This record gives sequence, C-alpha cells and structure tokens, in this order.
Amino acid sequence: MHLKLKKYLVHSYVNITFWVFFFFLLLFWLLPIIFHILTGSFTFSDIFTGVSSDFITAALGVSLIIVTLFNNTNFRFAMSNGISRKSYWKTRMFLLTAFVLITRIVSFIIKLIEEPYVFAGRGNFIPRVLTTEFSFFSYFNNSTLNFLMSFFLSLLVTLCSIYFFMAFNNFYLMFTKKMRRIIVFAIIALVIAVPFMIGMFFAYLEYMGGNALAVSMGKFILSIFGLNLVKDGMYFNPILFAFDMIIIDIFLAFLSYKFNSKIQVYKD
Amino acid sequence: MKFNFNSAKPIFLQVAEQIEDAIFTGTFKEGSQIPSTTEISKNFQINPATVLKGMNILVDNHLLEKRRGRGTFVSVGAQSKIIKNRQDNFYNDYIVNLVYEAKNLNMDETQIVNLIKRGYES
Amino acid sequence: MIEGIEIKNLVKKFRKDIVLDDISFNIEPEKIYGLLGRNGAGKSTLMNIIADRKFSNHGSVTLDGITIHDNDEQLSRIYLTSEVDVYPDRFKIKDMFSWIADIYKEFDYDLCKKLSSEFKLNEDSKFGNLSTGYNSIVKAIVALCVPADYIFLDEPILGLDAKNRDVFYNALIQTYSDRPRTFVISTHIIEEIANIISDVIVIKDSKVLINDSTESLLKSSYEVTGPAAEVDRYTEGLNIIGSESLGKIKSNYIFGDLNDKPIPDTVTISNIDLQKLFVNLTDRE
Repeated sequence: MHLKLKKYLVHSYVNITFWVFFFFLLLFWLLPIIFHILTGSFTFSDIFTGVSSDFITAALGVSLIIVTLFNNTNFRFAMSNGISRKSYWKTRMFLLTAFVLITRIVSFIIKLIEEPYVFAGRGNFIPRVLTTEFSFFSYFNNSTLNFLMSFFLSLLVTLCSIYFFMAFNNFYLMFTKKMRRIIVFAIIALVIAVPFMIGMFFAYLEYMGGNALAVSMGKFILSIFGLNLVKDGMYFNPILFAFDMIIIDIFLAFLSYKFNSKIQVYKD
Repeated sequence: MKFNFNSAKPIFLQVAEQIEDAIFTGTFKEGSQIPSTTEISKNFQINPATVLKGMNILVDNHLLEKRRGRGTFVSVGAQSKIIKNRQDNFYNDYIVNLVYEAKNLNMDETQIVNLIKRGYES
Repeated sequence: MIEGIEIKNLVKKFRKDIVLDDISFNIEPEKIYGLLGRNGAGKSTLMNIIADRKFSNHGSVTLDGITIHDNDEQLSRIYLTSEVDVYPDRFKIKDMFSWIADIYKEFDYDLCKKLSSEFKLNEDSKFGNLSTGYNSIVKAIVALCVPADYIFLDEPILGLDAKNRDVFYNALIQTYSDRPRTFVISTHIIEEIANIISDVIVIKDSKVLINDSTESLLKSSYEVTGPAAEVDRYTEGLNIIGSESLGKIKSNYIFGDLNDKPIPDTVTISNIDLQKLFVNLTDRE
C-alpha cells in the first residue's frame, strides 16, 4: 500500500466530508432557522434541533458515497505520479473500509450519547443499554454477543453497498466519456427494471405452480440469507447472513479490483 | 562567438570551429576560462552533449584543457598552434579553389599574381 | 540486460484502424529524443502506452528488463505530461506542487520555485483557472522537477509564447546538464527543438520510420539542386523525400545513399538542415 497516496486520499476524503457537512448544516440547520425567523415562528430551541445523530449518520453516509463515486481525479493523480493501479486499489480499499468502520462506530456512539434514556412504557424511562438496544435480534442468549453480531452485520451491509459503488465506479471509468453516458442510462434502466423482473419471475412461478410455489421459492431465497419464516413470526440466523454478506463483499471487492486494473486514462 | 545553426553541418563541428575561431582572434585568451558547456548550450539552445563533443575535439587537439572542478581553459600556445595549422592548410583551403575559379574565367597565372600583389598593397 | 526502455512489438488498434503497427525500438538513458510525426500519427498513444496510462492490444514495454505495468518502482521512474489534466481543478498551484513533492521523495522543490518565478507563475491560482499557456507551464515545471529517469513531454509548449518557450528550453538544457536523464519530446514546432535533441524517432504510417541520432541523419541526407531536368535525372532511383522548385531550378531532398552517377556541373549537392529534413520526413505523401 502506498503511504504517500494514503495521506493524499485521506486529505481528499476529509475535504469532501467537510463540504458535505457544510451543506447539510446549511440545508437542515441554517435554512430552517432563517425560514423560521422570516415566518416569525423562531424559537430558541430551533438552534439545537436539526443536528441529531440521524443528521450526522446521514451526512457521513452521503460523504462515503460521494467519496466512492467521485474518484476519477484521484485516480488520474495517482496514475500520473508513478503509482500503479494495484497500489491505488489497495490503498483506496483500505481507506474506504476504514471510513465505513468509523462511520458505523460514530453512528452507534452518537445515538447512545443523544438518547441515553429510552421510553419503557407507562411513563418509565430506563437507561439505554448499548447491548440490548442495538441488537436487531436475539439469536444468542448473551446480549453482548447479540450486540456485537448486530454491529458486525451492519458493518457488512454498509461495506456491501460501498463495495458495490466502488465496483460500479471502476466499471464506469473503464470507458470513454461517450460510452459512460450510455452506461449510466443502462444502469438506470436496469435499476428500474430489476424489481419489475423480480415481480415477473414470481408471477411466472405462481402461474406454474400456484401460490404455493411462489411462496416456497420466496421462503427459500430468504432462507439463504438466514431468514426463516414460521407461522407467527420469523427466525433470523445472523451467522448465515454474515456468511452470505462476506461472500458478496469479497465478490464485489474482486470485481472492483478487476475493473480497476482495466481503467485507462482518457482525454476527456 | 557567432553560431549559425541553420546550416547543415553537424553542430558539434560548428561548435569546435567557432571556439577555435574565438581562440584564433584572441576573443578567448590563452590561459583564460571559456564558457561552460551548459552556458553555451543555453545561449544557443543546443544539446549540451553536442557542445561537449565539439569541445572535446579541441581538447584532443590540445587547444583546450579541462581542469577538474574549475572548468575548461584555453591552452597556452593554442593560438600559435591554430595559426600553424591554418597555414599548413592554406593551399587546400584557398589556393585550389582560387586557381580553379581563375582557370574557369580564363585568367592566367601572371594576372593572379598581380591581383595578389594588389591585395597586399591595399 | 539492456538499460533503458524496450518497446517490443507494440500493436494498438482503434476500432478498425491500426494506430501502432508492430512497433519495436529502444529509448536509451540520458538522451534527449524528439518524437516526430504528423497529427494523428500515434505519438500520444505511444507515450501513453509507455507510461501505462493506456493499454496496447499486443506487445510489451519494459524498463531495464522489468515490465512496467503495475510496477510501482518502475512506474515512478517514468513520467508523462500531456494535455490530459490529472490534477484537481480546485487545487492551488502551490498546494499541487507540495503534494507532488510529497509523493516523490526527491522532487526538486528549489528548481520548482525558481522556475515558477522565471515563468511569472502565480502559485495562488487554481489549476482549473489557468490559461492554456500556463496549464502547459505548470505541467512543464513538474516534469522538469520530478526525479524520474525517463520524462515524456507530449507537446509541452502548447500555448506558450516565444519568451516562455525560451525559458522552457533553457530550463530543459540546464536541468539536463545538472542531472542527465532521458527526455522524449513530441512537438510540431520542429525548428526550435531541432538542435536541442540528440536523437530522433519518427512515426509514420503507424510504424517507426526512423530511430537515429541527429548526427547520422544529417550524414545521410542531401539536397540536390540545379536545373530541374538534370536534378531529376541524377536523383532517379534515389529516396526522394521532398522537393522545392523556383522557376526552372529544382531542389530534390534525398534521404539515404547517393548513387555512383557522375554529378553534372550544373548540379550541386549539399546537406539538408535538420528542420527541413524533419519536415520532409514526416510529410505524408
């Protein structure tokens, strides 16, 4: 991994994050205040609303996506200063993964700080316990394990989306400016078409074997991801889900590596 | 020094000739330092290696000497060496063409000698 | 192991057109090369492939025997500057310089500062706001200051006025004297650079037409001048690369060997000067 490049990329990512936060503040804090002042409904507490954990989580998320997708200039900078594609990919992969990890940790911590108490019904507020509150499931008997697993799963899922964007970005950069426009349209068309195609698939199953076939296919697909539906609820197997996610993440990372190694520097 | 690099002669030869000329006319005095290859190449925008090659011809002919760490200097006695060399080549450089041209114009030997006398008197 | 960049059997196609047709040649250390050829001859493509920015369809590029592709160490010894902007528009020039200096351990920062002032470059301006001329100047400055051993300059004087071109040539000569390394320069303004380069590579019809020193090129090129009929008769069968006429007087430019024919009295044979030679060599028939 290239140390000097790391410094450069970190500087670039921090810069982008800063600007995203700036615009978020503008949009969700300053502008509402100004609007309230203008309409005469301004109260002192307005200053403290808007900047919440959701705000920070969203801002970090947007930064992450922008940093992943807007990569062309950084790539060219690296290419023109004696850094190989392989080194560039490794450094970027490391930094993005670290960025995701940081985002997730910050998210969790801020939520805890912001709302130390949770409503427990009948006027009672109990302290928010990290381990029970953030567990999405209770697969293990140990609440700490449940929490750790939840955190790990949220990490894997976020990585999945970021690695997907990274693979997409690298794929996109493989082509000339002209082709890129076509690809964007194709992707948009695909994104619109996929739910439609899934719907068609299930409709076809239903046509073939009635409701039962469609439902059992659906159940089967869900079970691959660890989700088992039973009569009055569902069981979730996080280990299986984690396993699937890891495979998907590795596959997406591999794709991004392959695409990255094929990127050429075009004139545009 | 006056370089005319639009001519078709190899540049390193031109460099050698021009420096030799400058020594001959006394522009570069014996024992004094001549401009460095970098200076000359920058001045006339030519390749430094080419300049060096030209200088080396003169070094080989003992007209220039390189002093380590100090630069390139005109050798003592260089001017007289050049004069002697040009005297030796005078016949080939000037006389042959002169006679050829004279013969073409149907001028005989006496006419040429008279012209030479006139040249010395003026 | 041959020192230098070895280009072997390079083929580059663009759709149905062959841009580079089985090109093989070497780039030796510490020489200043001129890369000549008409517009669209493939010079830029060739340099981009050598610098691993674009890929060839076939063939290899090695530096000192080692393939440069995906090799950090070899790649850092090669530098290419071209019209492609590789720096963020929002960067101030001085920040750009310090980032590049950061990446290269031995970036000549002093020379960089010196050249900035010689070119009267405003280091506070943003890269994206530079004029064409100053865009080229910034790239040229970086190219002269990086510690690479093989520097490729694709049309480095694009948009530079006469004074700045002067500054550039002087800076090139000075830095080449101080720290000899290879420069490969492609340009259309042949006249100004003809005497600075020591070697010439000419690309024509997707092939390397010439790869030689300027000295040996001069030795094997001739200008045959005289009455048109006599000149044509004498030069029949020779490699005529161009000609000029003024009334009945004609000059044929020959590249290659002369023949044993006796030279008529009315015909004179002299050498061609470099600029004329290059122009006629690269001219499409």
